[in-house]
Amino acid sequence: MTAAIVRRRALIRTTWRDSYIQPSIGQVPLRRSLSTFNHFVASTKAEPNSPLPPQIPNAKPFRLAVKDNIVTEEFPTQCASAILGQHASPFEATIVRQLRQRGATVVGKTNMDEFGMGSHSVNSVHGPVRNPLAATGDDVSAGGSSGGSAVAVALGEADIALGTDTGGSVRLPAAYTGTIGYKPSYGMLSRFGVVPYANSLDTVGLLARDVEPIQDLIFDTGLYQEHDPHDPTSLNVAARQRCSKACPPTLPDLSQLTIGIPVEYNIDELDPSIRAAWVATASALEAQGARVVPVSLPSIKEALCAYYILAPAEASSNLAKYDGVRYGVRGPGGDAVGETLYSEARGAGFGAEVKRRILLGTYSLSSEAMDNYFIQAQKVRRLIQRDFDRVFKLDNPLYEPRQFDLSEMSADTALEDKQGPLQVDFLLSPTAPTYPPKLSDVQKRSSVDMYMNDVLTVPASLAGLPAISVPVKAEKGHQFPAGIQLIAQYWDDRRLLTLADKVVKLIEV
Amino acid sequence: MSLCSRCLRKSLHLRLRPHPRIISAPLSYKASPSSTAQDILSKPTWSVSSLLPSQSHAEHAESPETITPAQLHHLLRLSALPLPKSSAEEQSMIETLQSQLQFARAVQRVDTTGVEPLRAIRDETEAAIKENTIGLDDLKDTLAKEALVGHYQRPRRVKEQIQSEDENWDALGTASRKAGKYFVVESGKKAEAGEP
Repeated sequence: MTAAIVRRRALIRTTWRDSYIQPSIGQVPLRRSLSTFNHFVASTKAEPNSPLPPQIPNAKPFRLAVKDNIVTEEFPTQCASAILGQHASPFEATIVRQLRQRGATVVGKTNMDEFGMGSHSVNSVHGPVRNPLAATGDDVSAGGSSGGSAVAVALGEADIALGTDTGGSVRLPAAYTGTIGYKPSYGMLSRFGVVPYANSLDTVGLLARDVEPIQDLIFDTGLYQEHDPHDPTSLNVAARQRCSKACPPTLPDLSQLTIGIPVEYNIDELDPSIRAAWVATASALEAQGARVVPVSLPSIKEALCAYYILAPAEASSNLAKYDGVRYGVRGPGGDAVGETLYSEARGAGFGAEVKRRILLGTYSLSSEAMDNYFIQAQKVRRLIQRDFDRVFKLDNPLYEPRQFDLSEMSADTALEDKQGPLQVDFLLSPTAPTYPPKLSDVQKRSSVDMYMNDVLTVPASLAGLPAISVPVKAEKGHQFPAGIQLIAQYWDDRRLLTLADKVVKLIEV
Repeated sequence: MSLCSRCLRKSLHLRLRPHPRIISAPLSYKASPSSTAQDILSKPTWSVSSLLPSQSHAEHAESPETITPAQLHHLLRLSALPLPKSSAEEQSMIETLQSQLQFARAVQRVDTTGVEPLRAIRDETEAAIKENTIGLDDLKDTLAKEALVGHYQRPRRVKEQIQSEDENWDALGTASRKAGKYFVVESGKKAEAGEP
């Protein structure tokens, strides 16, 4: 823990007292979390409807923070939105139950971007989350949308935090707060009880200070094998076994590994010192005997655009259900006051960014734009997935093994031998192009400028691949560590976590 | 001849170009000075700002995405969102949507002929397709439960009450307004409501 955190933690108590004096502002009750960093959502604990699930034999007790778009019975779920109010869920998310069985105690719900839409945890009814690594007095972004979860873990107030990763929402806050953020393969962890944002991309992710606790929970306790019949996107047992058979169970010595540097991740906007951290990490792996090679994923350049067509389109459909009638908050003047039924309640309940994305999604799904935007983005998504499959040594276990024609690749692809170009075990890249920006700078950016932040995390999400962000300190005395991202082939999560652990230990020395 | 000399100069230039400037960034731990990664990353490959409207606008000025106020109102109605309260708000909504669309348009420059859209990440192996195919064997039990009805002895499904835990939740529990076992939706419009 850095000195800055210790200093700022000492301030928490005074702030708590300050906000206690004025528990409400006008009509609106003060729902702000009573902490400097605003990472926990203040809520009253409810009596759970069902008894706690029995723990597995060798469960180790730990503290779990849960992002506020994952339902728990003890705490209300709000998704940082005014439209849900203090929604008390009648059931608990599968992932929370599974972790309770493994020794989890839920310490609270964490602040986030409304419905997961954002990259800085500022689009929230509870106000923005602040980064504990920043110097006292500086309000710096904690990353988003799982910013509250990352801060809870960084401050040591939780051992593990649950987040959701749609386009980088777990990895980005991990990079900004110097923690570990892991997005598993799509379909591995159950999403039952997770409020959907973009179904084809949403995954449950985990944040922690070290890699081992994540590895213990997902693999040593067998969580990765558990299919959830309540979640149609959860891979069934037979598929899980097929996938596990296709992936080697253990990581070989580093000297037998090939690490790919995807050159398209080397963008102009990349901070030179983050690039230096990237080089340093690759060099450290190379020094241990790993082979470091450049790889090209040409479709990645359009990944960000494809993501910002697909995610809002799916969101506009998912968020259509919020009308305040069956749950949540409705306007005082009746349901048909506005132009359209429920429009007043939705207008008052949703935040500005959510409304922008709903509108964009509605447009790209409209009959005149459907083919040119939505379907085209899905086609680009297929190309992105193929690009990844082409560079990985392992075949994607979700498909029959594919042949890649040399004629489909760009002319300057370097050939390893007559078999074709070199294939890699893992990809190494930065997680975010810059260090966390100041909140005052974030407010000034347009929504499209804001989207640029996700350029390095979105590709793995579109392809459904596992990815993890680990902190790497590039420069002595730099305030923030750089987030370095490792990406693996589908279902190669176990080896990915092992390698991430090795990288963390290698960098510490 | 002129072409050749240009090539030569270009290749010389490439060879003579000094190693990347990022090396000068001080590293807290030793990286071998001539590492592979440094060579690979010496030069950025592209700029994200090339996706931004301000730049692409100049290039593809011929067909910028235009949204008319009528179109915006139609989209807002489809989204069940309130219409803009002022013309300034309307203008800013249109501008935001247009800038988003100009940015998103980059997907259209990709040649996707013959590419099957990726709609979801799911198991598409032959084994999985076989597992998910419903055959006569899967229906055997259901077919056995049919009863023969009427003069022509046509098979009919016998309705069965399925007891599931999922049915036993209080659907009205979270509703703010209800009447008996019904949700309440007020459909009456206010007199002054309408076009702003």
